[in-house]
Amino acid sequence: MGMRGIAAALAAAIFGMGLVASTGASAQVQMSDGVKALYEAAKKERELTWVTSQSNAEYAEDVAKDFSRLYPGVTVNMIRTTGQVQFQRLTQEMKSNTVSVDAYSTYEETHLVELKKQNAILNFKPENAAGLADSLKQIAEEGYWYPTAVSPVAIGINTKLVPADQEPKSWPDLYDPKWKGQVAIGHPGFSGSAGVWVMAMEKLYGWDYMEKLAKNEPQIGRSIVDSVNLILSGERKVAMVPIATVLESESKGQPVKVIYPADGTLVLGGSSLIPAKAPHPNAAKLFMEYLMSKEHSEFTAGQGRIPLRADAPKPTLGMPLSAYKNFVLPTEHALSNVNRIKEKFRDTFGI
Amino acid sequence: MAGLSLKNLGRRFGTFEAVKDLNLDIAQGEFVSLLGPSGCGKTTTLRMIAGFIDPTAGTIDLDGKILSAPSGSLPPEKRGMSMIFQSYAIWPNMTVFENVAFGLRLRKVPSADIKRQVHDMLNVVRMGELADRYPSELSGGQQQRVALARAVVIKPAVLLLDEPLSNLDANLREEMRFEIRRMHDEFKITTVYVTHDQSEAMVTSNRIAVMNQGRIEQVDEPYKLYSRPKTRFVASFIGRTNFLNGTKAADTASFEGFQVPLSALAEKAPDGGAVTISLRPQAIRLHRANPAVSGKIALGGRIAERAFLGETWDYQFAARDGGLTLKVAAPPDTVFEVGAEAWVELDPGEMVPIA
Amino acid sequence: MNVSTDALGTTASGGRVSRLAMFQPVMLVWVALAAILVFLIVAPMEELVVSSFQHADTGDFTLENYAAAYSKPRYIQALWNTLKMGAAVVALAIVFAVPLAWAVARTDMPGRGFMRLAMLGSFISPPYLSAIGWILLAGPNAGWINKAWQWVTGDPGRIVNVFTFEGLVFVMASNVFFLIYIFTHSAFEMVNSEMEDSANILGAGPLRTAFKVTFPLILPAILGSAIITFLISIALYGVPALISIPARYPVVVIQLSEFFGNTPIQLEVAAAYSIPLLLITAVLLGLQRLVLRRRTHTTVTGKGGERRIVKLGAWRWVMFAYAMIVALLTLVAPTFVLFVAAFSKVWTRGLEWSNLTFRNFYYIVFEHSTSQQAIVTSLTVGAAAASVAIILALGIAYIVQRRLLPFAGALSFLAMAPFVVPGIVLAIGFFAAYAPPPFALYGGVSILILAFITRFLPVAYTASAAGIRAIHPEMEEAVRSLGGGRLTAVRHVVAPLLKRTLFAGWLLIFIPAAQELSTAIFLIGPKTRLVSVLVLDMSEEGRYEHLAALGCVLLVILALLVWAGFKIAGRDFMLRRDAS
Repeated sequence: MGMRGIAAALAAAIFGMGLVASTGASAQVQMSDGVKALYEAAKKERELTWVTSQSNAEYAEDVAKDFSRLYPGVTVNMIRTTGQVQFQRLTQEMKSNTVSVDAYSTYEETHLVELKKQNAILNFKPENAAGLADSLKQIAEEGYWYPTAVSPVAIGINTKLVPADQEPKSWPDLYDPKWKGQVAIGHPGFSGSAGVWVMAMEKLYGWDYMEKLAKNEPQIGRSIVDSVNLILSGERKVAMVPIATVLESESKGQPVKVIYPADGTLVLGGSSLIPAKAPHPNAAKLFMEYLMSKEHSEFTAGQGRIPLRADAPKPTLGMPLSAYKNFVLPTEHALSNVNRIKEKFRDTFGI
Repeated sequence: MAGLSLKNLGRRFGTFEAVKDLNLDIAQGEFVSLLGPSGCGKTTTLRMIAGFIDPTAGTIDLDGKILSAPSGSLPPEKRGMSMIFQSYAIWPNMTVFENVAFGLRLRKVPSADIKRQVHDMLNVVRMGELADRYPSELSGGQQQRVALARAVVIKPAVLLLDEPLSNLDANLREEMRFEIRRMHDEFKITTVYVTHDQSEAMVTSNRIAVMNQGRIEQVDEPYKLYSRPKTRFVASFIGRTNFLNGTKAADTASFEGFQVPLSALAEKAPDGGAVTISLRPQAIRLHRANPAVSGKIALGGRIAERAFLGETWDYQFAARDGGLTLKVAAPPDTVFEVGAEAWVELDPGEMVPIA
Repeated sequence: MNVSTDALGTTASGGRVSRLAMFQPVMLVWVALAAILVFLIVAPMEELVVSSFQHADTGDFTLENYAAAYSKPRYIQALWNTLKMGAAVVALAIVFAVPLAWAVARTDMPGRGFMRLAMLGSFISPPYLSAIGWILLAGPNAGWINKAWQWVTGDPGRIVNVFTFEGLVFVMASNVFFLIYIFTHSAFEMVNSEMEDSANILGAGPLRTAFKVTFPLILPAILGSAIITFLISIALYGVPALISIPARYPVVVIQLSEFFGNTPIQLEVAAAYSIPLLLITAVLLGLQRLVLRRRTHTTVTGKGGERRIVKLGAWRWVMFAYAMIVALLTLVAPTFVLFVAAFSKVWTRGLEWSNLTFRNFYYIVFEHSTSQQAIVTSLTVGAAAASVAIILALGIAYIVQRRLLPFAGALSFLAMAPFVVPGIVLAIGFFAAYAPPPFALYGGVSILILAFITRFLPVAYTASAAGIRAIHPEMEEAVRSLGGGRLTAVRHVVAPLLKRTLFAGWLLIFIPAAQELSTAIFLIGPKTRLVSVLVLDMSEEGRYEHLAALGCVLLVILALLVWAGFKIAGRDFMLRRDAS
């Protein structure tokens, strides 16, 4: 084979691969009749607007691209914002009857309950919900919202600054006086995840836990992602962290590590719903099916995040959901305690 | 009638009456000055004519059409007048040419005509060379010429000037007075000129309206105003004068030290028992001995004070009988020492009874 | 040969002037302006006050909101903390500003040109970026200063901590002191050397003269600007959000955001809680008015004389050192750190070749769609707000200055009124008035632009009024006497003459508006992104390298615009200041 031949073969190979990637993708999806019908209807609507606070913008962008790859002809306008802002926005839109949101993803259970109370949720039962891990099914409110993300909260440490024999083992280690001035936590007034964590600690150890922690003068961030950065930079040595971010940094060779507390990793469940007056309901339903589909679980696992389905492969980073010694806080408890906890926290920590 | 007519014009600002019951007719092509001290209402009157201020009483009309009335006034831009301001108000963002052309452009004159008219006008005011300059590159006098050209080039129905020379230095001011007069002679535009400077008014005007405290005291030709003042204010505001107070009998008026037949006075004395006359210092002659001229009055006395002003001597004469003192102006060669004996010769024909 | 009035298209016959001929379009303009001002200022403020007395659900009159807003000692503490912080910030800002202003205006200190430039830099650099710079510099464990100290001395302890009351005050002061500098600088320039000379001739030495003559003369300027600085610092959101939370020093703005952060939003309580801020501002501005009235009195007498430069001798180097330290601490150091972080793979590694990367900029400018959108939106919102505010202010200032219409004073009062309203309180008013139907503006760009217009209207009005005051009314009367209407006069004479002033005013609004955070924080919706808010979001996620790159992009764009401003409007456009 001459040089020309090699070049031609290479070109054919590259071209062919591209062909496979672009046309083969949608063909790979195993669509049930119900999903197929939704896809046909969604194609007529062409697009949907997805407002999410369940991940950072980069990951959400990738999710949106993956959806459009599987379902060509339906594009996702992704808007990443904070839980508080997306809720305000949606309620304002509802009041003025100009709802633009089709899919709504959040960790804030209080908002979900509030929306249900206002009859603002489209009633829809995704067929793929059946495949979710059993531990997650309890998060769903049948016909209203379904879990679409989990975020385990554990302890993160800076491996350069914390010698192996000094590593914390459980949550109460955070108030060990040796970590005075070296702990970071999130503020429940700004972060919903921090709020759930505070409630969980209260449930496990009583408010005494926070009183003791306060003596260690933790640095209090507005978000719990902030504390990952604090241990990364060495500003603090140990912190309460969302594990996804820490695992990602660790995989890039940075000196951080997740410690799964012996007394349990807190698993936060985030849910998604379709607003009652969503302008593209079929596209939104298709998107909900996608978020709970096998394909999405595979995508999630491939991205090093925790897949939600029982039949999903092991994630490339960290552990599958089933491996956690975890505790999930009942929704009712969270709802009835969230405001009390915020106030109590402010009183204890003075901010 | 053709021309500008102010009828019973009045303007109040709150409780202050700036202009009161003012009547003035200005014939077409006439040049009339409003002369008076600051605060006399002359600028207010001018601005009412221009349309910047609405009258609170009376009317202003031009060629029989009402421009201003308390019920409402035509805005300035619709009056077809033009005005020259104390600050010149030359627009610094436009060249000399553009400044002068502005009014013509507003009138949608074809641009070739504009060019010709502006250049002609600039030549009239001797600014033809400087057409492309910006105002910041001009002297005060040159800016004033531009203002003049800009106002005249549109051939306004009435030209209004508001103390246009007060910001110029003395030499330029004198030159510009004649310039303004020359422009008027050339274009015969009905002109109202506001000034507090009597010589400016005298050089430029056909008639002068002397204003005081919101009223017109007297309207007359410049010479008449000087020689036949009608009020005490006019007599003292235009030049210097001596006021003599006397009493009136059947046909004579008696003053301190002398009597004059009423018929010999310059004007008919107003009714009433008292009479005041104005007698200009220039109308009094000074003698070393009793001149004894028939029909004139001679009074003996001495020189109390003197000052030499270059063009004249300024004497203070004290009469021997009675307490009368008189200001006397005499030519430079008429020299009297202070304390010297002297006689004054008074001409009853120069004595103007005033109101 | 005379052109009669008919040539201009109007005739008036009989005893009256025809109605149509009398009509002037300015009247309509007045009505329109008044309506706009009511929309922009009166309605939001009225809504703020009214909603503070309204029950959240029923809308009935209630005092519950006040009870809720002041129910906890913590809430009262935040108010008290805010006042304490404001006072400390002002004191430190005076220490920074006054010696510098004197040295630059009146002495032969070297580097005066550089100091002018540094003050300009202070104006361009938004407080939240400088706060982030200081977090990187003076973080208690990872901050560069502490790390350098540990490396040099081997001592594991720390020497600085930005997350303290002192740190908060310092960062605030370094961001607001340039206002005091500008006011004091012009006051020093107003003080006539002859006044000092006459004290000298009467036997006073230079020091005595300085304390007995010079400083009393500029005292009103210092006091006036100190009050404004106080007001600005207690209403600033970014710096407390970044520093006072970790420092555990609660202040009013943080407490307000807590009320806003609850579910459902406690808008009514937030309104009630912001009323004291409004009252403090109103009282202090009244005080400032009094002070400034006296100042005008003194500066009028100081006009026209020549100003001599004080020869400092060897002391000039001491002064120079002080000036450089202030410039370094307030501007150079935090900005430098920000730039280094922007070019770093990991900011904690600092200046290392292996750490250098352009990736962050590439990411911000080309990859991260949110930040591209944010840059465009920030600049657009800033430009739109500045343009509308200037046009609006120009119209009002014109009517007021030319006494065109009765009750023009009411317009000018309204135009200056937002000065009394802290940005964050204004935002609450706007939210209360325009977020709900029928306007339903929340979430869009329009509510931001409207709020920014209101926020910066006083600046625009001050600039426009000063500009119009400088144009002799006869300039326009000349147009009118030649047959042009008032609008013709504005178009051909007023507008061209004001061009430079207006451009300078525009920049003075555009720059802070493009970085404004305090007003934006409650009005931002999910689809609208501003650089300021994005920076705060990114700081939450701890992405300091990306954040720094975004901040640098904003700084560079603004610096270029200011440079253009210099070219077009002249070197002193920023230092021109007119208080009333």
